Amino acid sequence: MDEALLRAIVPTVIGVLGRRGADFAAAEDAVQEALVEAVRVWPADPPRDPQGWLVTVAWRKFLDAVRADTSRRRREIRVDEQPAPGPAEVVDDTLRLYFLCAHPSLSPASAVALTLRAVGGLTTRQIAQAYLVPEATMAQRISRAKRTVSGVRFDRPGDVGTVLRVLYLVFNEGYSGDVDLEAEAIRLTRQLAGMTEHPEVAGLLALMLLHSARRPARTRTDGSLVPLAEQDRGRWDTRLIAEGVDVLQAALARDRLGEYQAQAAIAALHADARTAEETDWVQIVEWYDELVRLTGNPVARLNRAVAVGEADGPRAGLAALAELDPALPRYAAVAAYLTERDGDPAAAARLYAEAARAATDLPEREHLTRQAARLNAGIRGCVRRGYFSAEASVARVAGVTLPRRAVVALGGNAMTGPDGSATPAAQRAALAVAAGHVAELVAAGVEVVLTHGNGPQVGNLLVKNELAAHEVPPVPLDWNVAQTQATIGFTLADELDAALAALGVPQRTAALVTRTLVDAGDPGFAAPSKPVGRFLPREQAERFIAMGQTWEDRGPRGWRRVVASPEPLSVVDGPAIHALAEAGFVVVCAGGGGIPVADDEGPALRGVEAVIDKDLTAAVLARDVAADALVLATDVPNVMVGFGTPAARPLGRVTPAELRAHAAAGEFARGSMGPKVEAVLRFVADGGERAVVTTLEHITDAVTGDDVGTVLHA
Amino acid sequence: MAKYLLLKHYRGAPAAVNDVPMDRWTPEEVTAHVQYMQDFADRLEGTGEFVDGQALAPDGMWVRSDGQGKPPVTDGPFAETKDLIAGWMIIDVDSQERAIELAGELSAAPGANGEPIHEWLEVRPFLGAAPTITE
Repeated sequence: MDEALLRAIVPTVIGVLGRRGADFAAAEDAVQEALVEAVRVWPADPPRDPQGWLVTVAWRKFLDAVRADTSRRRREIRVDEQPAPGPAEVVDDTLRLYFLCAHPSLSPASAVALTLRAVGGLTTRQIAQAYLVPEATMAQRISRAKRTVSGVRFDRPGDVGTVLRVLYLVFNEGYSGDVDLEAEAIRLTRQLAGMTEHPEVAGLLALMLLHSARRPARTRTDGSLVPLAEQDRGRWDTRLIAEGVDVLQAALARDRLGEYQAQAAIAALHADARTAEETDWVQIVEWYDELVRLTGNPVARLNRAVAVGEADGPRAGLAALAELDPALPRYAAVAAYLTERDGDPAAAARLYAEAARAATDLPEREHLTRQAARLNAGIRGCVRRGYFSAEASVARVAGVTLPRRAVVALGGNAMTGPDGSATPAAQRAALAVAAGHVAELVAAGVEVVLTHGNGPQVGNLLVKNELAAHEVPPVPLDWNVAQTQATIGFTLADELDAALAALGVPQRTAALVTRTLVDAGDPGFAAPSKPVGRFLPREQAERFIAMGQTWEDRGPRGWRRVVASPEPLSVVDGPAIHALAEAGFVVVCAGGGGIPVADDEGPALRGVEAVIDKDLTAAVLARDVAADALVLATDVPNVMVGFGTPAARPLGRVTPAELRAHAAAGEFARGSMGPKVEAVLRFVADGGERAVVTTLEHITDAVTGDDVGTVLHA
Repeated sequence: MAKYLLLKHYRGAPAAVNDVPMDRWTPEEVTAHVQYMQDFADRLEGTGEFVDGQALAPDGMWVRSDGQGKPPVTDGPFAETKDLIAGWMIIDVDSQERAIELAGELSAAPGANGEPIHEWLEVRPFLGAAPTITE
């Protein structure tokens, strides 16, 4: 059964009954009854002449009703058999129906229901489903509407504005249940446009077509709204856009501007922009000016404020908004949008939350709630324990470009007690403090890759090796480094997870046993120079020298082992660290400069007896994981020049050239500040943006601002 | 048109003017009350404003999932709740003023001594569907 055809002939049939003498209410009832019968009978037994069938059946229903009524009231009604109407009369009949069903004496909801039934040919059940009310309720609403217009003379010309308002309401109701009201509104408006030359009818049709064109891009599969700026414009229906623009241009050419033409013009300008950025907001503001002039509608003024914000900046938009009544629907939503663009996320988040509470439909409320949540998540990341308030932190973040990812290197002092104690309890307590400071940096919104020294820990393992050499075989230095990575990594991961959770940060920690590639031919191997472990008397040292180790006479305190300290070439596990960081983990890795391995071009890498400077490895690591900041945490707030002299001064913000000049002048001690300065210089030379040397408690300030620590800028 | 939920509370609402529990009314008063509610619903259906009306038993329980593969946990009957909903009516009306007017009429249902209860009803707007045109 062709339901569209059936629906299209309904107004005509009502018109036929009307001209045969039926009043509107009775004719409409009779046609509705015939319609319900058609829906039942036609699928099995389609008529050759659908309109003739509907007229015949409706007329019979009418006569039945009249006879029942007549017998009740003992009154005769004269009815005439008349020939079927010609085309001109059909147009007139249908047009009159539009006016009658949208009569100003009807409430908007009643007019909508009556229009959908008498002009749209929908059944009461379909209309009830579309508006989610019981069929009986809808039937009563329609009956009352018909009683209300019963005194209106059928042939009286009406106001096209009321008809357009009804059709606009139907269109705006969208799509619910099995009735596509959007499509139905377009059908009815198109039909009306075919019967009248009124440019506003064309304007409304154009508006509907242009908005309907966006339908495929308007909602996600989960039903959530996609804002205009984020819609996939490739999914807009170009055929509908082209038709809408044609209809609009023809209407505008008649030079009788009205609100629907103005709205359609705005929709057409959006349709015209291939990307949201290309939108001609200046012209859109001009059309909103027209719309405000035509209607004085406060909602139009509100939308104008949005357009002004796009055309002239958020300040101008907020100024336009300030002239409006805050009680307007969606006022808070507009204020939130403009306030965020004006750079005040905290206030915008509050406004979005307020707007969500005021939303009158579910998809919009969910959209606004998500906006508030998005901003609050960003702000939460900036609220640092005890340092500054949420407002101050937001202002601060707005002023400084945060690095996306930072490599942070913890020094030995971050891993032992204040008195140098290396008991497990003292180490854990020290790491907990360090983890708190690192967590603050994460909370500030920086992805952190964390590395650490292992001097005291590796020293202790060496002592165990020495003392237990007669019981268990001593293990090589690369094993010792691996062991310290495991114990420190585990403890740091534990403490960091706790610290992150305490700050309400969702990220968690992953610790990785990490290898660092060195050159087997590095000159460091020929002349080991890095002292490790404890001092021993000569006799004991000689035992280890006999096992192949290098020991040096360090004077009165005795002999001490020296090992190679080769240059780190690359972090072998860099890709894994990078992947973990990308996945949102805070990665603890490359402890103690990484397990030194050499590539002998054999099937496997080979661990070598060496220790690598952890700061130099940190610079390589930062390069390999694409960090834009390198942070070396140490026990002094700044790198000093003139150290130990009356002219001693801390370095604040420095350039690579300045720092290199200080290094060349011998300002920095080998084995202490020297490698740190070298590391930050290498990092910046390799393309890093910002390198920092400062104390643990200042790392976040040093990363987010320029007034704390020694900060090297590229 | 906008839909509103008119909520009637067993407890949790401020006290009614004629605050006598229903079980202390006369049978005739109960009948009159029920008839009033029925007439009210019928009248709203006649005006095309009625959507739904239901009464709820005062007994119920809290139910919570206890994780996948485990039976839900129950608690109750409502020992700790302050708020207990007795029933609702859903109306579809032209304006908030009309919703308030109807809630006022419903609140005046007769109770003890045939006097209006003047109970507090909660009026909550429904969230509708998103409009097609927003700009």
